[in-house]
Amino acid sequence: MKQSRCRLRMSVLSVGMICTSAWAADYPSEQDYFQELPVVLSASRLSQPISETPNAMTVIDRGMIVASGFRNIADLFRLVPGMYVGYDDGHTPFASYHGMTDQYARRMQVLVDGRTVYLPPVGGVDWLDIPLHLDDIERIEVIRGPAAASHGANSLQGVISIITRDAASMNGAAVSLTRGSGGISDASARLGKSGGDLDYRVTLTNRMDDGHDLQVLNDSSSTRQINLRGNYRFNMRDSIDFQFGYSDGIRGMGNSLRATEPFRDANTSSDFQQLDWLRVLQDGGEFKLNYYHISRSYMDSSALAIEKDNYRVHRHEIGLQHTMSLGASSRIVWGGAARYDTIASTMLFKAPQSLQLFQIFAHDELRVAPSLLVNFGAMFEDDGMGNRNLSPRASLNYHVTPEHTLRAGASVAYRSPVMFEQKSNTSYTVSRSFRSVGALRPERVFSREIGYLGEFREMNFSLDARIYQDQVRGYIFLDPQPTAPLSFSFSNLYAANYQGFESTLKYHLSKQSNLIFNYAHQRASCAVTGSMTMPKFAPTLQGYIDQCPLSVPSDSGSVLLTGQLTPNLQFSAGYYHQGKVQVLDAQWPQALMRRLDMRAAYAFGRQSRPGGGEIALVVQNAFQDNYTEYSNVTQKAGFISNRRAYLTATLEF
Amino acid sequence: MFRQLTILLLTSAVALLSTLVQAETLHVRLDLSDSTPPYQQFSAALDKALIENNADVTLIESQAGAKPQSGNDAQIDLVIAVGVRATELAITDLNAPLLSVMTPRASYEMLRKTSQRSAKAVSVIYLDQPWGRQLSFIQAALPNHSTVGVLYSPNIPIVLPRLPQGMSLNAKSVSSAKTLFATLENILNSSDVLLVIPDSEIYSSSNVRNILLASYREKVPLIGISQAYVNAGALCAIFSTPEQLAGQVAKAIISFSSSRQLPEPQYPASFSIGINQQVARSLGIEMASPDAIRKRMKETEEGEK
Repeated sequence: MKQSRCRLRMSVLSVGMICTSAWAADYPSEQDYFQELPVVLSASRLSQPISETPNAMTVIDRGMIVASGFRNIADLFRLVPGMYVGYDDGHTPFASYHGMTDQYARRMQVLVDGRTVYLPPVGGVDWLDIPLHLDDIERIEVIRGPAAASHGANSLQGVISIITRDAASMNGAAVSLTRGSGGISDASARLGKSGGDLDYRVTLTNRMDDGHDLQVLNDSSSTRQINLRGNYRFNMRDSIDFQFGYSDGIRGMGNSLRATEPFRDANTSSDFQQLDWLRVLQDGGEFKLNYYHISRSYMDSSALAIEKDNYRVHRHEIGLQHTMSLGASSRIVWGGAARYDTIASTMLFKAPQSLQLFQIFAHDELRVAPSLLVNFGAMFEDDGMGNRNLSPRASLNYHVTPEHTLRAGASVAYRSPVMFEQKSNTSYTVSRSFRSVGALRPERVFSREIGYLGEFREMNFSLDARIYQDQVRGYIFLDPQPTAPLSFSFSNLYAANYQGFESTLKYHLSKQSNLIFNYAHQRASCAVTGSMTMPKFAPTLQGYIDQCPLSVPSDSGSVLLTGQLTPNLQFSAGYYHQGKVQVLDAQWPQALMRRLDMRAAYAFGRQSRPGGGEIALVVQNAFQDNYTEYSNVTQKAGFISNRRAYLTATLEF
Repeated sequence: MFRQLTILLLTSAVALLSTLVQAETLHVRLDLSDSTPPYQQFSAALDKALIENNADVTLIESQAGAKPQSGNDAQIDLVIAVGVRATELAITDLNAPLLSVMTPRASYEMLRKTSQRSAKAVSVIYLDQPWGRQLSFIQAALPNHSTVGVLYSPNIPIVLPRLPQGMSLNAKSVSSAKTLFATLENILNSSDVLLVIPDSEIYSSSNVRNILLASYREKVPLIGISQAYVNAGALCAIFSTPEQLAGQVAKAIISFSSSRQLPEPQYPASFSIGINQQVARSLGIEMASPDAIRKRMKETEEGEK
């Protein structure tokens, strides 16, 4: 009886031909139910929901990357509340969080698939040189605030963790061409295959532009890259992920206002190889063993160059990580790593340098009650320069209701001196020499925060807000030495205090239309805490310290609007606002920046299928708002960032 | 002493009498498609259930395709074929009534069409969950997920249900392996959940991996058909275990032993709910406990009556 009623409620949508094919499995068998499956979404693949992370976190996902219209990775950080993005010249962007930066932003850890790309000799990241195409980024997780307990030294201000698209994410081929003003000329080809035991994707890229539209600077660049990611599965539990990348670039150098910097080309190259072996354990835990090598070289060896700057850096790291569950309420992650860095640079160090770093860490995510999550952990690190640091972190996430969460956290983190600060011994003939005296202590931050996360589902918006206080002591700064002629070393010279408020509001207009609004209010104060080797320079230092409150823009923010106008037409707009800011090593403050970028994209054919594709137009600084970039030169030359437009056509095969 | 002897005699007499009345021991041949764990679990659970019920049944276990021991055939009263392969072989053997179990409905119906057996001589306990139950499960577990995406191969017969109010179905056929990922992307863009159906062409173990990754990327949860799917990364699944099916088969055998009638073809009576809490948390989905979901399903069912 029951059965017949059930049949009445059904309608036959499709009854296909009963197949005559010899393949027996043309109709379902119980094997479809009982087949064993590999654990795909294991602990390390799952991102933690923002309401359960121990730190404040901003996630820049693919949708935002596309909607922003940006051509390079560093610009994306304009979408993070409190983050500063500057350009030393057209090919040297840098990103920092909570001010106190210079063009070698070195107080954030930067990872690509767990591999640090923050380089030891001078610190900082050469964003253009990372062999990674924007289209290959799955998402970027930006931890706002120190996270040394899980990410090690150099995550003093925060962590940028770039997660690239899985080896299986591409099936087919696509080519893309971009042309635009400012000499923008990009091309890329992507190819991938997935479905068997082996998945892979390969991307080839060529990027070129003329840099800033500024005659006094030679800052054009061209970069060729290849990036490959593959994944091979031995069995249900074990898989190996292998990655390889190579980048080769030409960077225009030179400044017509400085006699020591004639126009010329420098060569850069960087490559990496990475192997991750992942074993998924019976209890849902996992074990990961990884090795990677990165290398980067910079050669400014043209006959015209007066100081023939050059270096070649290598990093090898081997690490392991074990994630395990202790009952249903506790998840423990522990592991360790050993790293070996070398640098050869006749200009910066005279003799080749190397250092070995070791770290071990453990943290526990403990669900005390369904509504209360406690995270605590620590990392112990030997930075290879005589410093052993313990960086602890504790945080508490309380779900007042499932939609409303309060978070409170405290942590300590260190930044180890970079090799150049500790060991510089330059061979410059014209520029000022650096002779490090050494004996630097790591910079240390003590950070506290209270955050709130709210999901207002009925009103279609979510809010993420926090207030924080970061106290940094032992900031490393230039310390002139009484040699003849005068040279520079570095010392721990001052302390700083940062306080502020950050918020992100996301409003879902519809399934494919969103509005993201970021706002940060920041305050900074500094005090001299060390003494200079040459007291006569104390007033110079005091001069910098007096500028400290300006080292963060008091108000900054961004708005990103994405809308699907018709099934084929997508429109997005990004508005970026940044108050007046004095970057530490700039001679003049950077005036208020207001900028509107727009993107419109028309999709044709069927997406991700042969013949499908897209044409996209991006206009940056659409209203030609006057603003300058960070660099000393650009401001002295009265440089105004101009409107830029570029058109990208993509075709799938 | 004498009293005790009397009682013993009396009980023996009663036992003897009841055996005579109930007829002889039922001889059941259990045909397993395979000797892998699901079939072994089924066999062990059936044994246990029959013993617990004091059923007077002799189980003769055999592997499908293995030559039957000669002479035994005449004594077989009932054949239980576990799985498609065993059913396919047993259905042509017209000697004894056949109860197929752990067989997906689509396969059973296809085998049935080609067989000469009368409706009374064959029946089935399906492996699939009825559509109504699956949809009611989705409604109970994920109240805000009303568009259900389904991928299917065009050469596999699929009977799609009429939907409860407030739900819509987004079914797309995958014509070839090449277009799987484009179709998948398309369906993920336009659905709130992706419901797995038994289709080995689409859900092969290497495809499942990529389907899971894509659905996680698009934040569209996957609803699986087994605990293995839940372990692999599906948000949840509703399914019946070999043990649960064995319990239902034991009841059917016991009832057959007295009535000599096979039950009507039926869906599994009891089912399990699996939830991957880690995936739920990561997707920001609040999942009720399996018991609470079961309760909600029951309430909806009663409400409809």
